[in-house]
Amino acid sequence: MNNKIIDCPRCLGKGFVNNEDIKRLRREFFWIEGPHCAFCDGKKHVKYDFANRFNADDWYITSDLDKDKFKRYLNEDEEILNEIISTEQYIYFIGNYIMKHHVSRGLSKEKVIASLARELQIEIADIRENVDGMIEQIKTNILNVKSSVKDLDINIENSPF
Amino acid sequence: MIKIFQGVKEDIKKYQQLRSVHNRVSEVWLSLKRYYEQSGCNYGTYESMKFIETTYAINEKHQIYKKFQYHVDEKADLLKSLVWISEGFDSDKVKNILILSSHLNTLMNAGLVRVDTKNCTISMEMGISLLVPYLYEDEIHTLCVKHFNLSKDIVWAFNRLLIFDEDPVFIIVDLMRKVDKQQNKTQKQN
Repeated sequence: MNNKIIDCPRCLGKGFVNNEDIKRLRREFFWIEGPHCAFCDGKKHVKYDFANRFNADDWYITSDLDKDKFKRYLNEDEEILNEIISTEQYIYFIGNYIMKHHVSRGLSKEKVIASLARELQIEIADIRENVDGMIEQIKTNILNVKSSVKDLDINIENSPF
Repeated sequence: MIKIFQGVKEDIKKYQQLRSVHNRVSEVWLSLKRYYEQSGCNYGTYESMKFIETTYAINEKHQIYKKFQYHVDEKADLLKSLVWISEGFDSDKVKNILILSSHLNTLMNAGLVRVDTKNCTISMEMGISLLVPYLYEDEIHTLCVKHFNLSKDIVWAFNRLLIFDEDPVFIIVDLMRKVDKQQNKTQKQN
């Protein structure tokens, strides 16, 4: 057993995960910025053994993960491991589908939801929430457009209106 | 002496080209196909309609792809370059889309944003007279690069409207600032 303590490889010793960490670990479809790093539990350091066993980009280890499920994951519960694999594939599929059809092709959200539901052969209502969430994640993690209009100077005296 | 000879040779070549100017459609189409063959990128050729279709990544991280088409338009006597910005927008946004496109069309020197309200599509095209690439083949590359660079800004603007649901007026203000910044940067580099 190696009890060595190292800087958290996920948050790089900050104790929280920011947009740069998400981009570095290529988890744009999975995480959003947060005040608490789940990998080191906000402690900024982790045991070498833990970091050696789990990758810093392990998408399943997140702050909102159920404690019971996390324990089962640590114990390598087969059901949980299978669930993780299928969920990861599902998230990648939805993320890439939205990137291709909504962002690149410029199809409206409703059209994307309808075609995705057709493709997955499920009801539109069952997928809407997932698509909404993924679009928000793509907007903050990938497109990341910041409006500079907040500091717009409007000179009323010279305004033609 | 050699320079003069080369100059005369070029003049004769151009004179011969001008004499067979009626062949410009087929000649430009051949040049366009040659240009794409040499470019090494993936593309599709539509022989009967005389257009080439390809996709390019328009952001630095290669995450956003747009469909580009290059068309020898016999009727309009133009070589056209076109990018599909939206292939099916939300019809509720049509008013803001028309406002933004009209702003952009006023601001652009070259290039035209077309909004098809029936099919809910947005495209931006640029065209040059077929005579230009017929006489100067390199102009095909110039058109493609110019159109591609312009489309990056236009797509950026429309993404803010279609994805971020921002007001067209604010988008235009930001776009003008962005273009100013780019121009200042280029001027400093020069």
